[in-house]
Amino acid sequence: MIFSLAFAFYAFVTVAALWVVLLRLWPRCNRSGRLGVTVKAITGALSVFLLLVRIGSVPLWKYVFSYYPNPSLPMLGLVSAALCQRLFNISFFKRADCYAIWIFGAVIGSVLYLHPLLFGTVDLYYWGWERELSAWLLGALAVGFLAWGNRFGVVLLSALLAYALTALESRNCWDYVMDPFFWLISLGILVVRAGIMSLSWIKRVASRVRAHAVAETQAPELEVVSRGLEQLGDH
Amino acid sequence: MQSVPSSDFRHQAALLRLCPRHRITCIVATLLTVFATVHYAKFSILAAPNSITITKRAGVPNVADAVASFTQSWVTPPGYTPSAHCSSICALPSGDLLAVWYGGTREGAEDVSLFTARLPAGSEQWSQPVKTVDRALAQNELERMIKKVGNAVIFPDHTGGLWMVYVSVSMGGWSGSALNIKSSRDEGRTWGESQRLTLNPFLNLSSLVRNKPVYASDGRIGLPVYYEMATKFPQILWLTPGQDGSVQDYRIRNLSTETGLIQPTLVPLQGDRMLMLLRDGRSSRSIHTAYSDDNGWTWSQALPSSLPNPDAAVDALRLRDGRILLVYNDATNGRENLRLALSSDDGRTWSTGPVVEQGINQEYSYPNLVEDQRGRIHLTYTWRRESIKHVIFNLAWLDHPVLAQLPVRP
Repeated sequence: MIFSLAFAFYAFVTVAALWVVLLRLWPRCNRSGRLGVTVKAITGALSVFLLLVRIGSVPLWKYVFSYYPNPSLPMLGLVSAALCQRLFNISFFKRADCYAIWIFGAVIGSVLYLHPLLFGTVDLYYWGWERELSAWLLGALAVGFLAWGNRFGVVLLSALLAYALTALESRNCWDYVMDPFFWLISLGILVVRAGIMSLSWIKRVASRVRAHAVAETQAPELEVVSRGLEQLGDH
Repeated sequence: MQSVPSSDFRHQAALLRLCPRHRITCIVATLLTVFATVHYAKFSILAAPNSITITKRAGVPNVADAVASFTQSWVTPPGYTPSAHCSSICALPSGDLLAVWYGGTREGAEDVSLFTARLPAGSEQWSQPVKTVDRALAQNELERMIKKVGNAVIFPDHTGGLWMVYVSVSMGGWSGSALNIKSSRDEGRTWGESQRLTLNPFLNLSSLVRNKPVYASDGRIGLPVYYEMATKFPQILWLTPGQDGSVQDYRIRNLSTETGLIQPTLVPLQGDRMLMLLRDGRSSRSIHTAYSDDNGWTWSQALPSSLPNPDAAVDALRLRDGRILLVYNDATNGRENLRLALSSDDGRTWSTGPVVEQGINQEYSYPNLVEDQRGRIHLTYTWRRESIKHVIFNLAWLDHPVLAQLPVRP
């Protein structure tokens, strides 16, 4: 591990994440619309300051580091994208990119974290130690997404670069593409989206059924009216 | 409704994707990174070790070995810490013995530290304990919050370096622990900085260590460790030590599909065979054994042995004559005795040996065995959670055990 690089990486992740949270909280107090440069600078400085505040004998960033020592590169990508959105109003990821990230996080995370419960003999995490194999697989995945034109490929490329430089404390390739928070957030977002889609589908179906029922109850009356109209026409 | 030409949809979708120039640039960068990573990959061994080195015995057995010998002493001075537990002992290349254990007000307390003590070659008196790691030092060296420190194991490598792997906890109980490693180039007199080992995917939680390692002929060290969050199972940590006291490479493998079995003890047998003995945390309450025919890479199903286990650590050693010596708590409940057992058929059957310690409502636990260069067997264990006791005996005593008078604790 290049320790200084790992800490620089970690410092960026924690500051950026806290900054995003502060920027997100700010408009709730101030409904004036877009955030000014001063607010952005203050929240940035505040996030750095907060992470250096000591709780007992340990600064806050060390607490975060204690519990979350290996933030994945997709997580860093999401935090960076959110920060760019808040600071410069630039959305790096489009809808298809976001879906790719959430689906990757939910599917791959579930496989990695839950497979020991289903397939006891398979140890997928072990293969992350194999540097050459991991580099090839991660590279192939990145090339696939890039060829498709999906920006998640750029995130995977950054994960590959970080893995090549051993920018995290971990030496296992899995930790560069997946972490429990990324997995849980991805799962949560997909579940919420699936819930919203199901609700809207149920509403659509319900309204169709209702319309059909109304049409059926009004049908005899409409028939009488149409017959009357036909008779009038004959006369 | 006015229909939108499909070419417009395609155009809009294309705008949402990366432009071809960016795609090509990123793909080229990806391929270059892959080639660089593969080219500069320092170390990569995915295969099983070719062979496991049986511990060398440089010293020649002398005439005195024919006479049964059994002596006892204390590693910890009286009342040194209110509580002492989980000792590990290793024979150093110089002939000295070094022991490590943790002590403090109680297990898991914030003031618990790791202590080492030395028994110089030819001496019968252990040195004063030296505080090697405490919570503050671990916190400082690892750059993170540490709640407590725990189990530690020390072992030499093939280059003359000495390694210590120890448990630290940042959140929760022992199941929230992680492993750290530090090395010494002067047989444990001074130690380098601690380094965190990332061994598990879920926030690197729940790796613990208890027993001594095995040595592969390619330089790798196979340290038995275990996992115990939500489910419990044994693992092996393959370490490749660097010349400068750093860890060149490490990776962890699961040893068994069985759950509820922890604290594996590895015993190299003839050829590529290896025996694993396991502590039983389930209702079956018996020491479990498993075998490997490829030097510890893959393992058979763990099966219960004829020996009981009260959910307590065991340790084993392959003796010079090929027999396997086991030390264990001979009960299904409680740790009130400590007994030896021998196997002449690679652990398939066991004959019970002498009881080393016994006391009602007392605890004698966490034994650790090592053979020195003269062929004497050293056993350290937790004595009533108050002290670490040291017992020395030889093969002649094992065959004709007469327990010496136990020394009275001052």
